[in-house]
Amino acid sequence: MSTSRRRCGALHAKRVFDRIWPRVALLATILLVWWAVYETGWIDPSKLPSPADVWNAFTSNITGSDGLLPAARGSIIRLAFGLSVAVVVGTLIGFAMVASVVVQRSVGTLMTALQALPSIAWLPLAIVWFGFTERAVMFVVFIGGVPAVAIATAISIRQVPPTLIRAARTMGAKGWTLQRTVVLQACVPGYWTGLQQAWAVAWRALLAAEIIRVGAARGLGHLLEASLLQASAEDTAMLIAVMGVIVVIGLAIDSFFSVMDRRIRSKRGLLVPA
Amino acid sequence: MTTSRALSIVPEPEPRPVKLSFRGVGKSFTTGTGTEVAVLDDVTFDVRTGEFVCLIGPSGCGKSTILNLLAGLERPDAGEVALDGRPILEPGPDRALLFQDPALFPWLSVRENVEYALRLKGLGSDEIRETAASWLAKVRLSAFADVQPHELSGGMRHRAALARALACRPEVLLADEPFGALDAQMREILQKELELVWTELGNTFVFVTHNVREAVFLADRVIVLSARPGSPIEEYRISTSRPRSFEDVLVAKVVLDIHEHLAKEVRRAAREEGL
Repeated sequence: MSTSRRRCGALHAKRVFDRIWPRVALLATILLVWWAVYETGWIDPSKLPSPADVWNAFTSNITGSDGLLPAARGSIIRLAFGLSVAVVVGTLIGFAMVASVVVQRSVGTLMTALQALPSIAWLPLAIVWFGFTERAVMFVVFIGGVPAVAIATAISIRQVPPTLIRAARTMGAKGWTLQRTVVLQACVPGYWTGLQQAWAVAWRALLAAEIIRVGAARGLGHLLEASLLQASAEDTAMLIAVMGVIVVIGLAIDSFFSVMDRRIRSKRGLLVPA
Repeated sequence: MTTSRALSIVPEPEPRPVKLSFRGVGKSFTTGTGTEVAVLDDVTFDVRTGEFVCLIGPSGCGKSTILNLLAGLERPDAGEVALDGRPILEPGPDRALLFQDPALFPWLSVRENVEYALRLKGLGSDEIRETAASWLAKVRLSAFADVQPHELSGGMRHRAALARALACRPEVLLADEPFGALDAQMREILQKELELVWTELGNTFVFVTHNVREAVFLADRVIVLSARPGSPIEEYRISTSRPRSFEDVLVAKVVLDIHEHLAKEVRRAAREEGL
């Protein structure tokens, strides 16, 4: 038994290794090429600092009022707040789109139209309405997230298999009970995919707004913009460090959504085993 | 209009009260192109309490529509569909419907699927747990109670669906080709199981199939429907004792007879359509 457990452990370790090495290999390759290009001296260090410079910029700017940590916190709080409101409103709009043909034809079309408009395109109007305030940032995050959530809600509910609804109805489920116990359960995988898209849209809208100095508190986008001023080698290093932080936060949030998505799908047998 | 042929010389049993009745039922659908298609036309038949009736007919003859009307999922355009003499207006737990697709809820475990129906009935949690467990035992799925439906084999899924349908103790069990997608062996095993359950519970049973052997194996009475618009054209009363065997001369004869009848009907319909 202990042998089998050990074998199990070894198998698990191999699986983790299989999952990680392609990522590590790619990162190492990027760093290596970057370093090689830097060493040749073809490119001005103020345009392309070395990976070490970027690492230094990162480690020496973590805390402090202009640091990465408070900025990241500021951006994440904005995202969480704007996205929460977008999810609540988007979900309600999605329900209304399913419940009424008139809403689908009117608001549903509006949602599709909004999705065609990059949320950054809202920024000038948001500034006209709200000035360079937090409210303008929130508005852009909100307007980016709402259509994705609304459309995903409506589609996921429409795609609930009719056989499940019929089965529940023949067992006597109707009205709100039917909605709650079948429709709202069956639509979860599709809805979650919508949330996954919504956060990415909202995150990009947020950073864009921050880059043009909208909002009072510090965010990662503000740091990007601040590093642009002098265009010294140090500033460029900081610029890349901030970009790295944005990417890492994005990957972390995405992996949360992916893990949950895998859990939802594997429970329902919707996951094709790799 | 329909003739009833007794297949063995057994005295007719005392007629039991009528459970389900179709009286001059008509139903049509509008297709995507806007043309009206009559699916059922003037369908009249009764099913008595505790009777096992199989409906058989060419594809598209409205067999499934008859079940949907009995289940209360659809309403007739003409005539009346009644349960215990009262018109059927909506679905209810007194009638369970089995589909070709087991339609188990994928987000619930097998046990929770069976409990779902019981919870709708508003039973206490102890009773729900006990009833579900006993039904899972009856369909030999106790060992798989906490597994998700997708982890079961096809036959097991059908047994789970059967347990879920019967756990509410419906007076009427309706089945729409429930084993249509299974291989012949699995089909036979499930047929035997279904028969056993039916003999034990004594429910009224309406079973739609296009498999003649299945119909003759299971039913007290086989109603043969015409091609679209469907209406009963022939009726066979099968009083051979259970469990039946296909080697039984009477069973074999009636299977052949129905096959012949269906073939004739399909040919007639094809001629009318100008094929």
